[in-house]
Amino acid sequence: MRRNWGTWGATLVAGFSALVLAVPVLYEISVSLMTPVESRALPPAAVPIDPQFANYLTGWNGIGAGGLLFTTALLAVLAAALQILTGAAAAFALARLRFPGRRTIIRGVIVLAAIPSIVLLVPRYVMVDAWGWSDEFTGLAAPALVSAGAVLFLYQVFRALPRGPEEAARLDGAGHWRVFSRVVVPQARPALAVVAGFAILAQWRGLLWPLVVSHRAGPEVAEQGLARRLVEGASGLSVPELLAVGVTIAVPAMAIAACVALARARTATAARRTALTGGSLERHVPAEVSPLTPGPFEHQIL
Amino acid sequence: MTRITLFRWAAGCAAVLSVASAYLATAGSRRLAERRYAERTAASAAAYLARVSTPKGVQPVPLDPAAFLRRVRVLATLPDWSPDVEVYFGTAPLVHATEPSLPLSTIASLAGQDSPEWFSGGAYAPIPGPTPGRVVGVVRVRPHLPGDATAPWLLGLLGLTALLGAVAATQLRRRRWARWLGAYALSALAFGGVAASAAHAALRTSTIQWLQETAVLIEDAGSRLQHTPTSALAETFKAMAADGTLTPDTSSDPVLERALAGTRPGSPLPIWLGGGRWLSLQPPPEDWVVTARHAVAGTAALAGTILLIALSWGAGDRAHPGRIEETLSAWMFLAPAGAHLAALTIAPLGVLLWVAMHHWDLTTGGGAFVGLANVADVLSHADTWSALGRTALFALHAPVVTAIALFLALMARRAPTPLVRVLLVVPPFASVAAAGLIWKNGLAAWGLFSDPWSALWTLVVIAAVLQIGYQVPAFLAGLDRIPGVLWDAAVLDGASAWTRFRRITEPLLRPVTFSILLTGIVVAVQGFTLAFVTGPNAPDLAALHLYQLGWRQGRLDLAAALAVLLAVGLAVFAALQVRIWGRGVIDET
Repeated sequence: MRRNWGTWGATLVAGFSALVLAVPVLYEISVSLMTPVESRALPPAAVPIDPQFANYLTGWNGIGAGGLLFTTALLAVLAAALQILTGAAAAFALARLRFPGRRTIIRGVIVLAAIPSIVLLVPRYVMVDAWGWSDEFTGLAAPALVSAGAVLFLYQVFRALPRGPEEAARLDGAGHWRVFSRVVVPQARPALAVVAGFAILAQWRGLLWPLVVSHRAGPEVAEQGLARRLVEGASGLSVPELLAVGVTIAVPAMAIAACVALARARTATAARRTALTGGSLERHVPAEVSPLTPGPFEHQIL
Repeated sequence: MTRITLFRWAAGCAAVLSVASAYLATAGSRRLAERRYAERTAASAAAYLARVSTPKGVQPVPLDPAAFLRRVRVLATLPDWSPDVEVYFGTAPLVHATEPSLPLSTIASLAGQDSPEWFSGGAYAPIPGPTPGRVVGVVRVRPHLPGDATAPWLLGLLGLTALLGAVAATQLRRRRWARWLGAYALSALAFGGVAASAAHAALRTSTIQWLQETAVLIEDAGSRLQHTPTSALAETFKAMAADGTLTPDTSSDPVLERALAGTRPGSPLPIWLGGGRWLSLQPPPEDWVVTARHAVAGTAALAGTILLIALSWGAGDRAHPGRIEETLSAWMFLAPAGAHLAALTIAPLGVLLWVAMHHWDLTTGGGAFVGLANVADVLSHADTWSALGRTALFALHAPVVTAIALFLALMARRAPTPLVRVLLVVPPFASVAAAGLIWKNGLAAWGLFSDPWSALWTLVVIAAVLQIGYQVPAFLAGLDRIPGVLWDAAVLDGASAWTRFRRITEPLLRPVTFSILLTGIVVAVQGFTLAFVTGPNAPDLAALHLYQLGWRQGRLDLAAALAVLLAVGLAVFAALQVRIWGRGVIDET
């Protein structure tokens, strides 16, 4: 009985906190439906009297959100695909092949994953500019294509995989490439999905690099397009319309985050119910480097 | 045993030879630079003599030996013209009359051509006479460049590298081998770098010296042709520019600016001919032969290291069959990620230091070396200190947020429905820019963004909300890893909730907590978007300050200096992250 009370209390606290955390987002949606006059009211109004759904259309057209979202999506998908490809290949070599210098390279990857991205901002711009890639999509995408954090995370995942299937494949005459592509990668699919999710979210929310590399007239990503118009204030759009754009461009990111969270919550609950050690792959990976804890992944969230 | 010993002998010889060949390559490079200088100078001087001793307009006229002798005396005593020069009229030396005369065979071999030739230690250029195809004399220039200041260093480093290589070879596949090999590799790398830069500097010096001396000749020759327009002069004096190019300088810059432009290395040298006439002397493009030589020297310096590693594998191959094949495969798997990380993560660290120590403008690019002046400049501005101070205050929210997030995660873990978890995870993925605006829109009404300080504290609250949303799922993931049986056992033993937290959850979760805390701090220090969109009264956080220095004021060098300072400040946290992430990562197999 006591335990039940505790559970209910905890749920209540957590649910209430979730609501508190969601308040800014809910308020954002609410203001995005107001008229400009309502949004400036003192004291601020909580909900619009007459929801202006037209704000979404005006905002979308006024800011060219279609083009912005297309650039962002292209960038995110490219980054995710290449981070998975290069990261998995490197992680496979580090986790499964024996060669001199392996440990040194792993140490190096850890160090690289810990370098704050702000430190690399100026030199990356100088280099990309020297290669003629500034104000180009190439320059926008270049730094995001490989992530040391992804290599480190996938190394951990691969290391935790059982060796049995691999050894069986090798006995059947499979080479390194076949073992990698047919045995290791399929087993690690959930982890690859996690890498993809974080790569996409990082591109969706990154602002500083796009702002810097396209500072003349280069291609813009969604967050940058919005932020630039907020700062310059010359978009001809009202605050509710801008917020409507903000809500629109956040929908894909929030959907991805929700999917990942839901999948994780399900596996975690299932694992707790079924076994002592749990069946989820994440469980074998030291929590410190898991991207969900939040590990060595690049993120610009502030 | 014998085989290994032979191995070590061979390896030692190879190591020493590789360093020696690297030295020979760079020494050859320097000699090549000297030779180029002598050849160019000889060609310029020959063209000068041919030009000034031929009466203009009338030709062909037999050369007047007395006038030629006067010209040679003038040449040898021209101010600022210093080459070790000898001029032969026919076979007779004119500058130093006691020198041995020129062999007829030399003149014969020069007669058919107009480019200089290199014989034993000097460049010989024919002086064309008034009739085409005839040679009246020869100019000989011996290279005498300023002494090579790095030579003693280079020799010392050469000896050290060779010694280390020999020792590393004798230690081949013994216990301390890796250490010796590392020392040898480092030394070889340093040697290669110093040697290549010395050779490069010699080449540069020689080009600059030739440019300046040729400018003296062209000035002198030009001052004799008072009324010829510059376009005609550029054509007439073309031979004096040797393999460089001479163009009329038609820019309208003031005299001083042009003179200053000539002092920058690599830029065309302006020559004043009087009467407002300017010519511009452009040095020849850098020789690919020299670049190739530098590459050869660098490769040779490292060849010994590579060879030693290869020999070591060869010796160990009997114990591990298929090892070389596995190593090659591993490198192929590593190559894509490795190349990218090398190009866009490792190399930028060097570029950062380079930019921070040079003058670097957003639009015009790199400039002169200024050393630590940029860092001093950034540090001397009050803006920097206020930005760094506010960033530190801003980042203080991280520990508090981590504690709150841990508490919420402990609560949410016990919730029977995953809905609570999802609700906790999703909000932070809303657009940060929009979040900044909505907070500003709501809070500005209460005057919270009216001055930088209240704006800072407001930003702290916004950032805390965003970070909590980000950290709760991280803690949940960490908590899921703790086997539930531990808590169940503790409950059976009658442990209270607080005891279970203190004795089970907290110790098992500690690395996760540290990781989240560190990431929170690093993320906070790099915070940009919120400050960017909530301006103009928003606090000038470090990342925003860096952006404004670099891309608003266009001073990339100052931005780089600030980035270096930030890197130093964040080094402690990064080192702790490396320690935590690296724990148990590297297995012993």
